[in-house]
Amino acid sequence: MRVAIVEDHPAERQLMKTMCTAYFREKRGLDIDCATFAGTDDFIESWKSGRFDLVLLDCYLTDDETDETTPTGLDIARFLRKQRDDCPIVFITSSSDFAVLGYEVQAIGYLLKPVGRADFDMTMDRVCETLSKRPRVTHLSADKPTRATDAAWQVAFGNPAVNMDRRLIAYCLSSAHYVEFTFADGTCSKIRTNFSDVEQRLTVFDNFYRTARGVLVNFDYVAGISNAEFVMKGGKHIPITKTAVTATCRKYAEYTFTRMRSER
Amino acid sequence: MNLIEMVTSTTPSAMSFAIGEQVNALMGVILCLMAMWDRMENPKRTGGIILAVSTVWFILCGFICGLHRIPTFWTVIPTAIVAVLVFSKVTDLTVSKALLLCSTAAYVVAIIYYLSLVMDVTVLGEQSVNLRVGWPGLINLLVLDIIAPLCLWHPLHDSIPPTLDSPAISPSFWRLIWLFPFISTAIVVWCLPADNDSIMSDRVRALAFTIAITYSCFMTLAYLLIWYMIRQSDRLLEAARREHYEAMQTIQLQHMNGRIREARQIRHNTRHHIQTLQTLASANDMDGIRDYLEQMANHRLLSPEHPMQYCEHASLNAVLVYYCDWARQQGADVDVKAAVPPYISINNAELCSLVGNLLENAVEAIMAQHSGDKKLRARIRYNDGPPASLFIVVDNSYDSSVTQVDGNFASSKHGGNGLGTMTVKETAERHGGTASFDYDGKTFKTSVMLCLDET
Repeated sequence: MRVAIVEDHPAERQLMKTMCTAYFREKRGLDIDCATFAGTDDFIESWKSGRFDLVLLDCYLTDDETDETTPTGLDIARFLRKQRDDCPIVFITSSSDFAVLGYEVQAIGYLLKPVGRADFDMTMDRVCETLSKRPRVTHLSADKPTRATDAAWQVAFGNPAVNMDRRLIAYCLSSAHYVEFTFADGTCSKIRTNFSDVEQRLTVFDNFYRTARGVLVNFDYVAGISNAEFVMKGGKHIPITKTAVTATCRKYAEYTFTRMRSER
Repeated sequence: MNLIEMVTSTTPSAMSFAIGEQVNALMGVILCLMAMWDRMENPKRTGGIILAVSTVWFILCGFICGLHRIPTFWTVIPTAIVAVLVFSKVTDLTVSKALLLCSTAAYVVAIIYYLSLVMDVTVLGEQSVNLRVGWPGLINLLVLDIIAPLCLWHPLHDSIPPTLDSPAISPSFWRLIWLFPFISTAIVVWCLPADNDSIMSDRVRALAFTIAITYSCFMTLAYLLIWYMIRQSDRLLEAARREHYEAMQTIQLQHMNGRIREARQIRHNTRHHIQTLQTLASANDMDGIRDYLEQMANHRLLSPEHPMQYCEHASLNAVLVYYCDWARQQGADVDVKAAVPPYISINNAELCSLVGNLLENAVEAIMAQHSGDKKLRARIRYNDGPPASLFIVVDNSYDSSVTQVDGNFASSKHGGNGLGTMTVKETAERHGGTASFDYDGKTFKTSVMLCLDET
């Protein structure tokens, strides 16, 4: 596991590294690869050669209040998200001003300086919880999942059964006796199975919805609505039955609202 | 006598004239469809079905009227009642608004029929049949039935439908205004000459003709005036909203200035603190230094820290800072987060009015609370898609009773519709989105989705 710490004060940098290493060794039995950086440029260089599993960012990377050119921790976070890096981010700051700004980059949380052991451990617990909820990249396999937490997300379709992680299904289209599954990474698989069976088993979950005959959509992968059609992340347009456009858009909105209400 | 013999024994002319008269009623249906086209869920399908069914129905009625020699309006009037109910069901209009549009169409139908009957008597004289048109009347009817929809296309399709949604007009206006065309139509029907002898004299006919035309002009003028006044009210409302928005913006920016002044004050004080500490240090007064630092750490201006920036969008940020500070002043627990970039494709004034309205309602509700926890929670998230969309959720504690009026939430401030919630719904729908309000007894929840990039 690769961890990055970006902090301009050497003493604090060292302290973070120590706490981090200690946490993962004692609480998780992991030996992590913890890299520290004093500034943005070094961090970005290292990031380019390999992404990190966790990034801790100091909010102000300079002591000079009038310096407007040095990027802040928030700028680094924005850069990561723009590059589609969804690694967990934790801000380190001496004021709670950044508490609300972290929402924009989906930061896991923030640590107030001076960082106490208890707060640090609590935040790291949350980080590990988030990481464990992430699906594995490979979604299709004939064998059983290796991680216990992944089992709950597995569904199998077709005969012979093909296992997949339902968090990675973007949408399903029915064609003849097959159902074409499109996944998060853009790949497609045609599986010989009954569409109504797929529909029945997936629409039990809030995020799956039948928008038209033979079309099933995962709301988590909808980028937006345009001309009474869903536009998926990746650009594909998904049709919606003309008479059900209002109801479908409402369902999508409600799903998003519920998600927003349950976030921290 | 079988059916075919029955049909051929009836004067052919009477049958076809009866059917011809029904074409007039069909024109009425077409006028209604023109006005309500954009309000149906699936216009081509629903409109097509209504037109097809009406055509068949009117031909059938014409056939029956011809057969039994009954005046056609005996079948047209009950059909009209059914039509009103059908139209209010397939469109999103209330019964009053559907009645208004149908009555208007009915007036056109009635006046054309009346004029055709008068024309018939004028030309045929003694040979005209009571309450049935002959050749002249039928020609007059068909010509007017073609001209009327063409002339009325623009008003019925483009001008009148938007006024039905005008926020400046209260529902009670719509509940009564349908009486105007309805009574006019009733008068025309009442004036239909049951016995053509009553209009044999040239003078009476001229009078009837003149009055019919004049009254129709008067009706057209009245419609025009009402439409114009509604447009003016809309403009006034828009101007009032703009003024309110600008007043709020001024207050919000003044508030921001206040916060900036506070921040500047802290920097100023730093110099003073350092001087004091230097004095204590040169006197070797460790206790003095410790006490002073303790005081500084607990200073009002350093804690608690209230965010001055919630998002990068400058105008929206001013709105959020203002309402969050106000809510905190009321003793509420404020949990507001927003992720909105500095420039998005929605007019600043619209966005800030919308969010401002929601937060103003929320904070006023909190102020009116006498008991219970005071809470304000809001999340605003922008999805750049493409296509872009904006999601807003505002939840606040609420302790008075909330009543729903006409599907909108009544503001407890002034019995009528909370104009704020109507504006929110209207803005959301204008952007192809949704707005919903929910109250679970403890928390008032507002959820708004806007689809940007859509006109």
